[in-house]
Amino acid sequence: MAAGGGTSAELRTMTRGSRVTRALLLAVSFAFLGLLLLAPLGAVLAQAFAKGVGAWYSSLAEPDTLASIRLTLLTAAIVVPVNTLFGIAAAWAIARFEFRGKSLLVTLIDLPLAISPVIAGLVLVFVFGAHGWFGGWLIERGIHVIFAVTGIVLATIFISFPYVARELIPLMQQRGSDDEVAALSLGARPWTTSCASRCRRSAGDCCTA
Amino acid sequence: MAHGRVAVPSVLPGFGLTFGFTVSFLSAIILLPLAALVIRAFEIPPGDLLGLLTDERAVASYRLSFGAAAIAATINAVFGFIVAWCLVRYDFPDRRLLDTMIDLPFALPTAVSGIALATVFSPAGWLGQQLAAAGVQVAYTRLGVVVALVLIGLPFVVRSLQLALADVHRDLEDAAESLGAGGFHVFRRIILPTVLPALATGFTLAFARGIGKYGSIVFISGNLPFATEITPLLIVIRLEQYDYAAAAALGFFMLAVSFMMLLAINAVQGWGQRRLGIRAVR
Repeated sequence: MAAGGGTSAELRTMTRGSRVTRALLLAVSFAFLGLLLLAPLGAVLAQAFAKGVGAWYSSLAEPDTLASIRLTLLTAAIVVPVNTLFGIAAAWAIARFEFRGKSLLVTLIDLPLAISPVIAGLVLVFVFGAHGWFGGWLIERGIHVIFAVTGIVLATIFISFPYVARELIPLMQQRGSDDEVAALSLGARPWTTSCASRCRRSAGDCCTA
Repeated sequence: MAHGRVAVPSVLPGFGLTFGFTVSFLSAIILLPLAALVIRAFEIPPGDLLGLLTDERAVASYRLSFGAAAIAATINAVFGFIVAWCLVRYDFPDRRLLDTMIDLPFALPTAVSGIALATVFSPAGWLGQQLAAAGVQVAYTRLGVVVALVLIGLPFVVRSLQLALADVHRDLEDAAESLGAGGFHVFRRIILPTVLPALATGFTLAFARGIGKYGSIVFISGNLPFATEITPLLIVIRLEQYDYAAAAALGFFMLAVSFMMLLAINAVQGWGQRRLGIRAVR
């Protein structure tokens, strides 16, 4: 059997040369991913639990750690609904209607994916920082955005809002609008047309930020 | 219809509401902040702006950011191809596991992957020890930046190639083989031309992301000015020094590059669609 031991039916139809190629390519794949992905992750896990589960738990239970986890979850709890709302609205407008400037709108939605996260932070400083456009005005009124939760939430929205829209637009385009038109013609109210949102990616990215 | 001028009339409701909300949200979240950056950059006198952009330290950081991203995208094009090939063409016991692993760099917080790489490649780490014995140091060198970027870019290349490879017609390969073409010949004349647009898309996406990455790199790069300092890091440093002009200039430059990369990605995807009708990925 060749390395990896694939299904016998597949291997039987293979020539000797292609079986060698197969083994070689699989070995390269596993070695590449092993070195790049598994080794680093394994190292982190090993280090996290090096002093036992107790030490891991007690470092997790430190007030600083707990506060940071709480902040991350709070940010996600605010950002995910906002992004879902935006995603549904954008997908509905883009997938269901033809209008001028549509491709420009799609490009703008994609923009945060191409922009460095550092730029996302930088532009917020220019708008809301002490010397920014609105920063001085807001700080006078006691509202702090930069170095505060509001800033974290805004930055997270900035870098993660394309995900929901990007998942929904192809989905809605693929399904077509026939169902909705039919439902409307049969007297269904607009809100009864369902929208399945996939905000998993968005949630994941919030934790990343 | 109230919006008949802008949109083609439709029986479906909600265009005004959803379009209005989308545009106002985009303006507030994206356009306004980006406009602030662009205006800030143009408030700097042109001569000074040019000076800030061609500052020696800045140029060294561009060289690293762009060079490392290009090398990493090339490595991903080769190894990502092999991985995608194995996933699409071969049936082996851990295929599902391997398939899931590809998405890990997406799912992991960037800081975690950065720390993980620094841990394993540091001179005291598992792989770092072996490499140090061979006289190669990865962590805190430019090589480390490349390694981190390979990790970031891998899913883009593999995912776009997987779709394309699944679309290659096996009949054509069989026909070519029955006519006496060798394995390499089939690969070069049938498989490669079919997946070339997807490969280009994956390469461009990986390259574009690589330029702007920050979180996963700062842990492994060592961050030495002129040597292992990436452009996004230099922006953060300037910002921390309250040198807003330099931060704005560099930020504007990165933004312009991002725009160009976005146009390049769209052009590559459009080329692929025209050529073969290959679906765009993400």
